[in-house]
Amino acid sequence: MGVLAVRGFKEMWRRWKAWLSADTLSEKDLLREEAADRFHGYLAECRKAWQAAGMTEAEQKQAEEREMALILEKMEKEEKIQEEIEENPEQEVQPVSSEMQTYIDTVCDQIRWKQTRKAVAEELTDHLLMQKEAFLAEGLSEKEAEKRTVEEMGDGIEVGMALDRTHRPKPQWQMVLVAAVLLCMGLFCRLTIDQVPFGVDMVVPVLLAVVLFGAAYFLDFTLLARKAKGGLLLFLAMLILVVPFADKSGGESIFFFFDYAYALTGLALLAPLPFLSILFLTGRKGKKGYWFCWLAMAVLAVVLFSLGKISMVLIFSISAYGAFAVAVGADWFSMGKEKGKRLLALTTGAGIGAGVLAVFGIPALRFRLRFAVARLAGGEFEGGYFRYLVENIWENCRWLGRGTLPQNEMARSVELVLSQRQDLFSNDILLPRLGFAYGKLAVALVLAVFALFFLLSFWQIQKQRSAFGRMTALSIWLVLLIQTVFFTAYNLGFMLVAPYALPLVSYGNAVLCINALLMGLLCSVFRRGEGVRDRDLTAA
Amino acid sequence: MAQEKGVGNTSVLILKLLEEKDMYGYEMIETLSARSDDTFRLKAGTLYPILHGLEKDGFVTSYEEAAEGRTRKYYRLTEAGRGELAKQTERWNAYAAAVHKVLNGGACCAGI
Repeated sequence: MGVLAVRGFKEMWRRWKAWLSADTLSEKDLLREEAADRFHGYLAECRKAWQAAGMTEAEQKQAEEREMALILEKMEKEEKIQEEIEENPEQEVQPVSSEMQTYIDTVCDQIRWKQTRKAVAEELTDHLLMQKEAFLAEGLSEKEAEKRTVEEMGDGIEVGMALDRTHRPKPQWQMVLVAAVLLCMGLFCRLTIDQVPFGVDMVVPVLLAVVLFGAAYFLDFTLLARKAKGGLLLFLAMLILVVPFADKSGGESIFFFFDYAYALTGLALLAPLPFLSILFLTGRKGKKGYWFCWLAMAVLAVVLFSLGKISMVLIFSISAYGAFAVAVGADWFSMGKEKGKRLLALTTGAGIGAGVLAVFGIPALRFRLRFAVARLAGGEFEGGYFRYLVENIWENCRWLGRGTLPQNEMARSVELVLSQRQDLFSNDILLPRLGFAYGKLAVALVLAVFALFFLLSFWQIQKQRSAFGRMTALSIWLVLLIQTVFFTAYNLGFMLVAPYALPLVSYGNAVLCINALLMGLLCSVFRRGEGVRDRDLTAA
Repeated sequence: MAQEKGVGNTSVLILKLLEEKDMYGYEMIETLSARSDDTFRLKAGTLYPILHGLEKDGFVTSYEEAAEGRTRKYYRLTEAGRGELAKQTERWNAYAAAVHKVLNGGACCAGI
């Protein structure tokens, strides 16, 4: 039995590998289609010209046959060349002499940002070959032409050094500054509202968050693509090692490690990263890749659902979908842009339909929905108690300065919630507590900084040149944005979706660290996005 | 002309070329040399760092196209580049006019 299972697994692994490395036909087909269109157009033009020239029907037919034979011959020739290139990607169509190659290498060696070298080398190669052709046309010998070509370029080391100065990762001071302000605001709330004593227990997670932000900032985000398989295995290993041993508590899976408790829902915030790796691996795989991504999204969503909060599933699904939509828009799967978009619209509709059906059809989900609706709209004693409490706090806030306790039966509860610093619910309603302690303006200030953060980063996402950079940045951006939106909505009394965290501002130590890591990674995309070409990633 | 903020003189010539149409590096060198009767014979080693710098500053963008079995990188003027070109052209005209005045005997005599 065991042997059979192993054999079956090996077979699956082999097929999976073969499938991953299989060439997709769709791109070639597309090219053929395009060529056929072009030639049809050409033939139509020819017919018009022949008619105008007064050729008889028979003559026209003859001419058409001749033309078609020529076209077919040309097409075959082109395809043959293309195939040859595909078979020997190393071999250039036109050989670059060793002298030229040495020059290109010298220039590229000066550029410290290795990932940009390939693009520079390609541009220089094209230039050198064109220059050489021009010299050959002037009547110079092959050798003389090459020598003159390299001379015309200018000193290789100097050129390389000049290029090195322009090709640097772009520092992201603005983003770092905004993130630092958010972190400081969080610290301020922690010290004054939560009244956590300043000490090692408080400082260590913050320092860890700073280190993680820095590490992710300097990390090359294309590792998600270049080490896609390793990253996926790591995430899988994490799931397998952690999930089965987690305890359920209050609908959430908690993993105990010595005396520390970690809420596994935090995994949902990281789940878009392995999904990006999957997106990368399925690139150019046509419809197969497209459907595999949907499958992966669904599987990850189900795994996350089993761990706890529905809001986590939403955060993951929306951010993964964002990356997926960008991918389809950039024809990532080589299905043809329009075709892909149509398919996406169709499947999205079906997906949303299935989601709605699931919410109403599956009893456990229906129960949660009823619970959430009660929390949002129910009366004080019909499940809406928390909302009633939060409303009471907001009503007694001032614009500036400490609020007054309500003069009704809620006074005691409000006082209790405001003074409870470690309570989970108190953590979830940080904004009204901040508003009560310092005034609504303080809350407005925090939200304004968040707005600035999201606007600044969205502007940068749009500028991303590579589809992979855009996907990565957008999905991380969405993870951060949806957390903020859910948290803020809940804190304002719209309690349909459970809050998780206000990135960098509200605590949970684990979530603080995860969000810091994500923000750092977002900055990494903005730093390095300019030098990334999708083509080079695939080659690696 | 004093180099103030903005791009250098060679960069202005490049921006001007790109105002008409998208070009690749080799094409720019050839066109520039033809237009200036070989006065501006740019070395490729000078051109590419400038081009990449312009791209970094957002004055031009680039895209790639396949040509003759190779990849060819084309550059296109952006709106920001157009603005910069207008600004630098104006500055250059003012400078040239000033030189012209001086060479013709100074501001007091010009226009008489």
